[in-house]
Amino acid sequence: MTATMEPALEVGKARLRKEDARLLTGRTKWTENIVLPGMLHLAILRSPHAHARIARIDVSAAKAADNVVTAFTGADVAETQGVLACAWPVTEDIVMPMYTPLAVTEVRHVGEPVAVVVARDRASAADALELIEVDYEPLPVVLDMEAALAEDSALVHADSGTNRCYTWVFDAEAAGAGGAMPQEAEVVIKRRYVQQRLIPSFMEPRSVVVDPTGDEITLYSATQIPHILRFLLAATTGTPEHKIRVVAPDVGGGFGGKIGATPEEWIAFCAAKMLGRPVKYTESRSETMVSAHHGRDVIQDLTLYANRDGTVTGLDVKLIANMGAYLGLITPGVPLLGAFMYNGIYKFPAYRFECSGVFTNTTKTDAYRGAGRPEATYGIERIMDELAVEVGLDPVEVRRLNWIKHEEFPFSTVAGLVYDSGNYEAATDKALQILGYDELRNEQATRRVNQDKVQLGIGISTYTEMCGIAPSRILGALRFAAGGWESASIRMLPTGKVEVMTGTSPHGQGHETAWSQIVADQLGVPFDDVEVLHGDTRTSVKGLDTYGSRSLAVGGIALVMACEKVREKAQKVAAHLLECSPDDLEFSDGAFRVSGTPEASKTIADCSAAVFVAHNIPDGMEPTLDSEATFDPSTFSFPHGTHLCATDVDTETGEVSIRRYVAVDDVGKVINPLIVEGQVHGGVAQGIAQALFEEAVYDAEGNLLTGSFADYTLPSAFDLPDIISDRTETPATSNPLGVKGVGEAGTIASTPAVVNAIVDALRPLGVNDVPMPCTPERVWRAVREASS
Amino acid sequence: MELTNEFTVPVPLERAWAVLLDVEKVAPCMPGATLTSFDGEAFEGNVKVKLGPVNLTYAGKGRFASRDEATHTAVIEASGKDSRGRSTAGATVTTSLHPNGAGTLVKVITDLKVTGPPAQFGRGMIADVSRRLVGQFATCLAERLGEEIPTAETPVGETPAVPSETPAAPSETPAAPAPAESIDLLEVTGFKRYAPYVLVGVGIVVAVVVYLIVR
Amino acid sequence: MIPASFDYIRPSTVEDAVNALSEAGDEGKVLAGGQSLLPVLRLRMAAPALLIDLGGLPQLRGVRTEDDTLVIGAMTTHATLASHPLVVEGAPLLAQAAATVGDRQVRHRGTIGGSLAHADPAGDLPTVAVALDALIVLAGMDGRRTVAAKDFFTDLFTTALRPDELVVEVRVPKLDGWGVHYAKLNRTAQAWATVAVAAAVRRDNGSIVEAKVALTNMGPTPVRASAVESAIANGEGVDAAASHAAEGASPTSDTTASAEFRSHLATVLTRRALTAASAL
Repeated sequence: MTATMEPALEVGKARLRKEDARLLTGRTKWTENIVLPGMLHLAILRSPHAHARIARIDVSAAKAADNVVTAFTGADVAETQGVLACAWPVTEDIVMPMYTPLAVTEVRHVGEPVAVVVARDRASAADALELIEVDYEPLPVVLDMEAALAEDSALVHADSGTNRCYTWVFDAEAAGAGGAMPQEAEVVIKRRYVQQRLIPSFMEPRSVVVDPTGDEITLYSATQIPHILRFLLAATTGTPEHKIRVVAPDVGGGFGGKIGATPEEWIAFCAAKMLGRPVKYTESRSETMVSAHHGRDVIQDLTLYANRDGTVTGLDVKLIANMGAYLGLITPGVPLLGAFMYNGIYKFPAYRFECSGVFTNTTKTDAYRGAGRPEATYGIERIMDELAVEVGLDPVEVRRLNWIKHEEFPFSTVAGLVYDSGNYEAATDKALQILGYDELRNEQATRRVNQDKVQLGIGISTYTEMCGIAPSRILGALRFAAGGWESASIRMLPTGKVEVMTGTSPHGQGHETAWSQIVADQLGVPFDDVEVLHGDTRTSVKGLDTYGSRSLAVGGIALVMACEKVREKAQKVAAHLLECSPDDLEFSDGAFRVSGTPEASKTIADCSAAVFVAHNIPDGMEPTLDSEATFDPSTFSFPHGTHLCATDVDTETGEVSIRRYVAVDDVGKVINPLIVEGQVHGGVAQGIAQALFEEAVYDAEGNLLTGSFADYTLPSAFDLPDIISDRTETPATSNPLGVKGVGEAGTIASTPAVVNAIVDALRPLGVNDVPMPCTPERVWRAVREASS
Repeated sequence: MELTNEFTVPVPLERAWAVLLDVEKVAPCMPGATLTSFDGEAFEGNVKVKLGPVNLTYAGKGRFASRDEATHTAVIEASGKDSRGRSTAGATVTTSLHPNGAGTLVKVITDLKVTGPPAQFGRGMIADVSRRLVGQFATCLAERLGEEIPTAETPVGETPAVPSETPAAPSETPAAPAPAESIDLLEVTGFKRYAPYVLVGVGIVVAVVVYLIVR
Repeated sequence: MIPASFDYIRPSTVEDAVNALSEAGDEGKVLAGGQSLLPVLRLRMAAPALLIDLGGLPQLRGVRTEDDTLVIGAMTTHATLASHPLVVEGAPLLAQAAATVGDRQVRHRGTIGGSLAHADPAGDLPTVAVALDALIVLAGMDGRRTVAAKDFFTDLFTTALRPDELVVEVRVPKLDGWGVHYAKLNRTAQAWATVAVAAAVRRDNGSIVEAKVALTNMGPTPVRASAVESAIANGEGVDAAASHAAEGASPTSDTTASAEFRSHLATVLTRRALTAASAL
């Protein structure tokens, strides 16, 4: 019955974003801007020790201080503070320690909250913190992952008896997705790579306001997951779910770092309920550094088996992943999201993956842009370059030899996934051409002959990633506690305007714009007539929020489904008004038209008005065009692409300068090219940052040495190259929009492209690796060690 | 972190041992400190240190964990926290004396742990700075042990004589910064004079702390 | 984070500022650009009872020449130093170095007086002051006095300033006809120097006959690379002279770099600075 539609008018357009005017000028309400009558301010005392027993804690002086309303410790709220849940117990025998918002008897990482002051103003709260007395008895600090796994290691959680959280294995042979791992091979390459610990550096620090006055308790938070938070608060604090409202106002960036049930949110919730007054907590950046979860921190041991001609016969991956001191919402599962991606775009006959999670006395790790897939792409793309050198092939050629050919899609990979579509040839050829690959290779050769102090390197990264999180059944099979569907509902207003309630929770992705573009085409309404509502569980009541590059690939489809339902109902109304059969109607140019008599038409707005007054609508039809749809994807989506990076490496100082960076990405059908380019730029910036700049460093006592942006080296625009972004478009076959998702692709692809380029530049000097971040000193040392 | 300093003094071992245990003689090596109590075994006090814009007060306690006449080894354990409650510091200082001809070889091993803002915001220089400051303490201790006169006055701006074995200290090192409260004698004598008593371990720790946060 | 509370005054004469500082003693702190002080206050690693803001002293801002000397008010910002025609012409090394400090926002607040008084080993301006043999004029209860840059920086974050003194002026001898270059390596554009080299060279017949070279972040205070200067004076070439750069320096190891790498960088950057300065 589907009415035919005109070619899209809005989808594909480089529309300026609706949200930018208010976001870029600050004329919006961030969580920190919320002011409520009688609101109080929290300050949190945090542990200076990485591991210690709390021998004595006394808040009485703080309680008596000026403008302080109360102060409390973990012991004071042991019964009411709730617990912080982990939603992903990846194995049956996983060790899941108790994790409370406020520490009660023991602290296990620097920055862990131990006490709270509630005061009338923020300064008084901060002053009163100084009056809290705590006597700590230091305990042995566990920092090194491999040492933590040793028999005689001190324990992070004494009653667990071990620091090993879990061991998870995927064996392609056992899963029926591949053959036996070769016992021997003409070429065997073993490499260890270290994914250094990163700190998600969203621009807006985390902030929470809880308002317990009124019929329900409202939590406003700079979060990526308002819907999930509502459920978790109900499940862990005893407050009934229907009495909780969670609102994510405009949120200034997340990158995965704001996916979490945080101690601060739970503490604020507890304090507000205790006092019956609104409370606010906004952290300072130095608190973000120790309390917001960290990313990556994985040791990778890879073994690649291949024939002398460069065809790979097997890949074995062993990871040791740092959980930190506690398990956050998806901490144990993050490395496993990469489990299915180490084989990348290649046809490997054999594959095995094993990961052990380890506790240490550090801030917990959890999702950070890419969450498991950047690590996987780094591992495989680095080792493929090693293979190229070993067998004497150009790195592009060794990839061509092993990748899935365009005509071979859909393809069942050795990791058990089915890639629906891809065209690695097209993306690669385009990238090589845009980069000017041959000229750069010529220049490289010349510099090598001349033994230039500055060498040129070219790095390639051919990637695919799995996103559009996720088919619920697969999540269940992986023991993830929730599903992966997404929801949208549409309200047609009497005047023809459209309200969209989406279950996604954007924090910079531009959903208001892209969803408006989709709805405009689907319903034939002007772009500006569409209002997209999100982030408030009272308004967009149903959803699973935004992460894992899922919003368009899952949420966008739910939106299309909801639009189709609206069109179906409207078609019946239009037919009734035009006194014809619904089958006689075509939907074109924003209206239902009788085939053959195009002047006889009714727009959706006409139908909406008609339904509102309900004076003349089909018998028995409910007087509404509104709809709701929930979509559960049947598969992941697989964006892919080729990134090429040309770097100049100063062998005297170790400085690396990216001369040219080309990204050719295939994200399927493009809704808004500006948004896609913005995502690629930002993603690549963060990937380059891991390659060259960022690293969270702990000292032997467990102090975070990179505790502010003075020491945690975050690049600015001055440190990054122009990113040349282009695309191929191979529509996904797994959804009606043909979209794949792009939020993380840039980060996933870029890190190995940069490091491959640095290593490529230094190969003639005998270097085959530079550990990340590739600081000047590390580059210099790599050159020195190779020559000694 | 563990820091080791060694030096020789031209003083017989027993005399050096006596001086080492005399907290009042050793005290001037740690400027900026005020001892509030010392009962022969344990001491409490504050150390106030200024370096650059930073100004911190640590309160703490320490004690002689052991004094072994036979091996001439003394172990002091000290710990403190800053008045704002955000940083802690702990040190175990093991000093051992060994005969060296007519003189004495002194080994000082300091196990130092600092937490909080000084570590978090100090550009990771904590080890290097600690080494430097413990070295300065050791230099001063060497002088004390090598002197006949029990009390010393080291004017600011003059380079103290450096015994041969001390670790390198910058040649223009002045006496360490900011003397503590009781400096009435300043005007009278024209010299800076250290506070009479000191908290050995905490003093080292505090100076480290101060250096780091100034970054 | 929020600083502990403090009283605040903004005197309109240097005398008032000095009096206030002297009276406040330990509890007073001078506020110039605040770029180093405010983070310390916000991290609560100091809590002075009184802040004395020098921002109300326009008499401490500005650049003028007196014969062969450039006279710079202590409250002159880095941004001004980087672009002021008198500085660009009379002390281009200072202008170059000032242009590399932090970022635009920092440069529009940070001052030369504050930078010298703070004496951060990783700071750029103290190095240039030492390289150019600048004179630093201080004002205190006992009146004004002048200290040579080489005597001003005594130790880590420690200067010859007495507790009641302010930096009021910096006097930089002009080096007419000398070539200059400030070579700085930092991990990101806004970061402090890992190592930097300030070089001024006098050329004769196409070669360098005299050099003034000082190093940033190669010790607790700026390091005058005298071994390099002597080598140049003895007729050694740039490469040979630069190889002495780290002699007498005591660089630190921290999260940014090791002492060993710093020493290596010092030689490389010295060579590059000398080469660029002489534009040979």
